[in-house]
Amino acid sequence: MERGDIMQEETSKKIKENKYKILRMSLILGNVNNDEEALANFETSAREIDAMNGEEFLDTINNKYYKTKNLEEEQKRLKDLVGFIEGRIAQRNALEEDFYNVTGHRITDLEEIKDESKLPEYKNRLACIDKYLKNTQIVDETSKNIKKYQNELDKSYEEKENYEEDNIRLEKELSDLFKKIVADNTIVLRNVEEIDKEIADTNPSVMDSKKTLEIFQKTFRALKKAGISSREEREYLSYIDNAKEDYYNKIERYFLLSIYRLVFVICNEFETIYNKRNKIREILDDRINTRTELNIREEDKLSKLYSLLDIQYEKILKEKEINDNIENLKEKIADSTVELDRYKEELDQKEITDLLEEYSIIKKKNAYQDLDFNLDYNTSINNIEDTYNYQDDESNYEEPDYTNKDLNLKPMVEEQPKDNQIIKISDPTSIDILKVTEKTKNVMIKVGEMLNPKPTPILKEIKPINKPIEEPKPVVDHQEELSSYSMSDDDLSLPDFTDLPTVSSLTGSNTNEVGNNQNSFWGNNDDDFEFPSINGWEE
Amino acid sequence: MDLIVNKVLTLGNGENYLIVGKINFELEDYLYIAQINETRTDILDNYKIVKVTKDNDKYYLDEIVGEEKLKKILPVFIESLS
Repeated sequence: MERGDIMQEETSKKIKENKYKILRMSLILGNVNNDEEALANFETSAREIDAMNGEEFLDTINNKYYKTKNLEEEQKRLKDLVGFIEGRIAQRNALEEDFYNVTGHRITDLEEIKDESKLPEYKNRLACIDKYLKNTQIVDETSKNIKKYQNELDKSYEEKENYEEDNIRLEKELSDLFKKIVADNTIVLRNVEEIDKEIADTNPSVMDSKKTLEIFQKTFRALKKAGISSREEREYLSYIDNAKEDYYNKIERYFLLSIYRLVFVICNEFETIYNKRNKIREILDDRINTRTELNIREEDKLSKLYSLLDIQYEKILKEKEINDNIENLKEKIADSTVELDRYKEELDQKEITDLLEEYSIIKKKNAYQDLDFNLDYNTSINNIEDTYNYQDDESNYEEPDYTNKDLNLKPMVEEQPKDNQIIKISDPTSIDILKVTEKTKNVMIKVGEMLNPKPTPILKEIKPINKPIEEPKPVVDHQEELSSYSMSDDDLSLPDFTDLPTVSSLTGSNTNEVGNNQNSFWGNNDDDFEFPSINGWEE
Repeated sequence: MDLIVNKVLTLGNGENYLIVGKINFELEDYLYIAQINETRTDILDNYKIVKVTKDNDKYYLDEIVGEEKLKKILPVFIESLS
């Protein structure tokens, strides 16, 4: 458009708007002599404004229908298109509302907004694209997370394996060390039963010794309170020391037997080792407390055992951490897999798979499941060549081009041709075409006659001897005849149907089946019609 | 695709057919085909009238077997052959 034309159009637009404004104000103020005329002028002005808006809308909307290469572009285009149509609707509504507010009447019969009726369809398409792009992003992230968790899990299992090996080694070390210790303490027992029996036997004497010690201590405190000499005090204290020693020896044996009972059984499983180490630790803590209470100062012969148990306990705690981590990772993988399936399922809705087919992101037909999200969505989406043209605008509309040779996608699944698919066309090399053509023409004509019979020929009159002339046979329905006729001497040129070869492949299906349904090619015949083979028609 | 009379079609199931006739009826292409033997020297006793359909740039043959449909199509074929 020339600059002058543009300016003129702008001026015209401005005048129309001003006209609307001034008439509007007049009606609002009631400052008009002839209300009806003013009302009519205002309505005309409103229609002019709407028509002007409509023209501007039409001038622009056609530019919003164009081919897009991928879903991201289509999303952008649809957002723009939907926003534009909604803007026009809002503009129309505002005008109608204003007109009603000013006049108290509704302005009707305004020209329909182009593609307003298609807005739900566009919005739905946009929503599907939004959902696809959002979900694929989530699916991608979730898949990455699952992979990450899986890697961590693999590492944790490796660590666990190492700890398990260490545990077995340390179990043996513990057993060897302890056996050496108890051997020095004249504890040599051959099995669990013997140990249990020894513990049971030791227990009462420990209790007795403890009780004796308590009696000594209590009595000594009473005597001291009553007043005793220092010689007597030293003497009584020596009694207590003897009782203490006796008690300690017995309870020490009890502790050793209790630990021996645990160490004697070598464990492999984490849970049993963990429980075993905890129990040993509890016993050793009790032993330390006892030694402190009894003020035992002699060197601790289990010091090496304590060191080893500390190492073992540290290991088992770390292994516990790893096990907890394994459980945690398994849970995360399970949760993420459920989430992944949910998002995949959402993407499996038909409207979305149609879109994916349209943009050749998936192969036509149920290929979406075949993908199983091995597809790199971002790459695939961005690399799609032009395949789609979504628009109803008559001037620009083009059919989707599925035959685009530049399509930058390789087939996702190797496709087997269907039974009824033409895979090759070639020239005949050794067939006598003339002979074959003649033969096939005859078959065609005979079948045609059979399906659309001409009036039945009059049968030749047969004059039997001594019999009156019979009337000609009545006309027979060809379909009936097909099943009952047998050739004799008469001149009827119909063939002998009893000799017809079976043509099973011609008992097919409904003719209206879709072309790529291979079953339809060799399917069932609705009306049991059979297309006869050539032999049956040969004279 | 070169679907013309006297050409040999090979189908996905491996069978070969000679195109004996071709018509366009109600905007659809139909072929009259005869199966040929393995040595491709002669036809077998197996004739079909098929509709040609195209899907995703591939061509398929759908056999016409219903009597009513054949009644409509056959005369057109016969006329084309005569």
